[in-house]
Amino acid sequence: MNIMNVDYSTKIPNNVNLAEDRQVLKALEGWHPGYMDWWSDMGPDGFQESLVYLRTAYSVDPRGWAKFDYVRMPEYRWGILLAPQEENRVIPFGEDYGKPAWQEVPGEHRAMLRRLIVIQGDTEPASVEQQRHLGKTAPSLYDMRNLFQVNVEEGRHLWAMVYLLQKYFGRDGREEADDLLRRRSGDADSPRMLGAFNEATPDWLSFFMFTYFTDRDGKMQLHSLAQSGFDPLSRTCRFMLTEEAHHMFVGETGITRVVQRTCDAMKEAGITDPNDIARIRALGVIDLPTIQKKLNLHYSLSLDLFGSEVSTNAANAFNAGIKGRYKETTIDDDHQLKSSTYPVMKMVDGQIKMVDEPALTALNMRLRDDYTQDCVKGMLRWNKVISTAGIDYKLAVPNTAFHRQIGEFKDVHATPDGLLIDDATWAKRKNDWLPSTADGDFIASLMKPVTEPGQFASWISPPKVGIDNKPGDFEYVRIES
Amino acid sequence: MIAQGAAFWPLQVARELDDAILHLRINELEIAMLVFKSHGDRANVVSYDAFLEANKAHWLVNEVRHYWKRVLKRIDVTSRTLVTLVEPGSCFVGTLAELVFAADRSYMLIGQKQGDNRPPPAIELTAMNFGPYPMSHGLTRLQSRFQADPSDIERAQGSIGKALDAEEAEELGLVTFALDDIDWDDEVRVFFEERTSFSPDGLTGMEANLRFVGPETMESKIFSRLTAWQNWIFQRPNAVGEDGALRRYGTGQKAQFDMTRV
Ligand SMILES: [Fe+2]
Ligand SMILES: [Fe+2]
Repeated sequence: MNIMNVDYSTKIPNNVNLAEDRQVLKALEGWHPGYMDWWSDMGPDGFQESLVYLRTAYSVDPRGWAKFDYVRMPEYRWGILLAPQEENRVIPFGEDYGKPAWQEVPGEHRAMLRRLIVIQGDTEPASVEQQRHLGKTAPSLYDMRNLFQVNVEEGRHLWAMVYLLQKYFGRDGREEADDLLRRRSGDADSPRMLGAFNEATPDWLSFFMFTYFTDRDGKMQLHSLAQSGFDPLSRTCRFMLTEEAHHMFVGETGITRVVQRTCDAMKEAGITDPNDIARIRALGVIDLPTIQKKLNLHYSLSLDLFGSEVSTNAANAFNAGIKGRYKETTIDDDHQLKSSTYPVMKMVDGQIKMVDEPALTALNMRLRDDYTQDCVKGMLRWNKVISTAGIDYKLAVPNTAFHRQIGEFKDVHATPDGLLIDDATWAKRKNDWLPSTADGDFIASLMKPVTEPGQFASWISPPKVGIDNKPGDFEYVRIES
Repeated sequence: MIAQGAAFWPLQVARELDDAILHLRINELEIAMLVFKSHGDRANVVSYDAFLEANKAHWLVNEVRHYWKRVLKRIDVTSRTLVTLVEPGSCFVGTLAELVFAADRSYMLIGQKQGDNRPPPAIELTAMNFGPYPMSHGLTRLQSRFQADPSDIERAQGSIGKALDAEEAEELGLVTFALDDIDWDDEVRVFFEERTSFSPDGLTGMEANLRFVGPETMESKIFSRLTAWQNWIFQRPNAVGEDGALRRYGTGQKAQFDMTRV
């Protein structure tokens, strides 16, 4: 798209009075062509000319913020939307607890704020890059649409962070916004900032795991930033959370449908032993132990995103009033953590132990605990499907110490049950707990595209209801158009 | 000049500036930052500089030049953050441009400000920027600034007499940042807020080290960098006191600083 043809006042849905903000307009004019180049180079591979039934956010009205229609993705109207300003909002935690929330960046905290916004911003385009090849193997048009919906919304989340950088961080903000388009997931020279966002998303089971576990990390981070004393950041994150909910819905229902299909196929074939892997795979479905391995991988990678359990950075950000706790305003304490403690899981004399640490420095641990609880909730549904089918198997999240690259357990090996083991045992048993090359090859062999409306690949059940209440055979993507 | 006496402009400015700096240093200990601005016709400053250069053999001109040298040195050893804002209507030329080079940070406006029809600001170099006002370590402020590559001095010298706009000044390395109207207010505000939140001792140390780059003289050893040596910073209550930076490091609690500058 040529920048000269973009009429910012009408083309970009926004509630920030963009048409009259010459600072952001000028910055956006410089950034937008690069974004469109990025989308065409690193966005979904293929399907850019297809008509996709997508929702677009036009306002922040809780009853009607999104509209569904057929759109070509490059013509998607990425917008800048912040949750409405709460009157007299105060800083809900930290040293400035109770003072009026900042409407401008406080100079003292500028560097820290910029860094947090850049880190959050970096994850948004990263996941689009990770998922760019998946369109070609979508198990249905319904799933393909969901993938593209997630992709365009991650694009919008990038816009949201870029808006903050360009509006509030002047010259370095603009440079950071450009860098967000320069880094590439998995690139050896300029990778994305966080580990999990440089991992491959090779197949659709990974995609569902990613949207379930890794997008949920995003949810937790957005929740803590939504508490921020810097009001524009808080408002931005609150609106992003409404979109993020759909991404996790895609993950949760996606895995439910995979599990459902596996259980149905086992029942039809009269197989009751979930570990009868060869026979189950012969049915063209993914066996439950392999699903568990994928879960182990994505959960442990996502735990790494929370950083070190004990962290001065997290403490500083909290004390400064910049990044709060999950549901901060509903917590009943002093919101300053001057003297309280929090139990942290640590390695002590070669054993895993709980140790009380100053609550202020244990904030990453706390957020991660909240995350784990949130993860476990959705998993109950998967296990319900399995038990209803009469199969004796339970999916579970692995122990925190399992397969970690960051934090207390990065130098040890542990089983999914949390048993410490030596290098040799780990090397021998690793493939029992994490997807092996053979597992990956098997899953890859199932990834055959299904593009007939209303049809689904052998390894996944249809959804219970359509998107936007559309009927089962609705053509969510018009591929040739 | 003789008839004008104390009202001879270069002398009067030097005296008033000296007085202001001494007042701020001695009586206003909690002021963390000094901001230099100027206002006037650049051509006048050019003429006065030319006069000071042409008549340097005259005893009073000689005294005035030495006086300016001492005033500027006093500014160099002032333990406050020094900022110079080069805005429309300013006259940072030659002698006055030394205030741009003495500053820890200088900001210069690109173009005009909205709602202000004055022309964009310009900086102009004169012979006075290349010798008569050495710092306590024997270098001129531009030599000190361009330690890394002395050819930068030649480039600057080549621009004597030319009105340099913000982008040219930034290109020559004469100002820290050139900003347009859109960025100006916010960048400057945020910088002020950021600097005033840091440990005053830490800033004194950092600024002294960055101001006096390169060689030492006996004078600079006594009055300049070494007086703000790191050993001093680490012994101060702002570092090792109960609520100091070193004690609070790693706790997430912010250090409480005594904000007076010494
Ligand atoms: Fe996102
Ligand atoms: Fe997401």
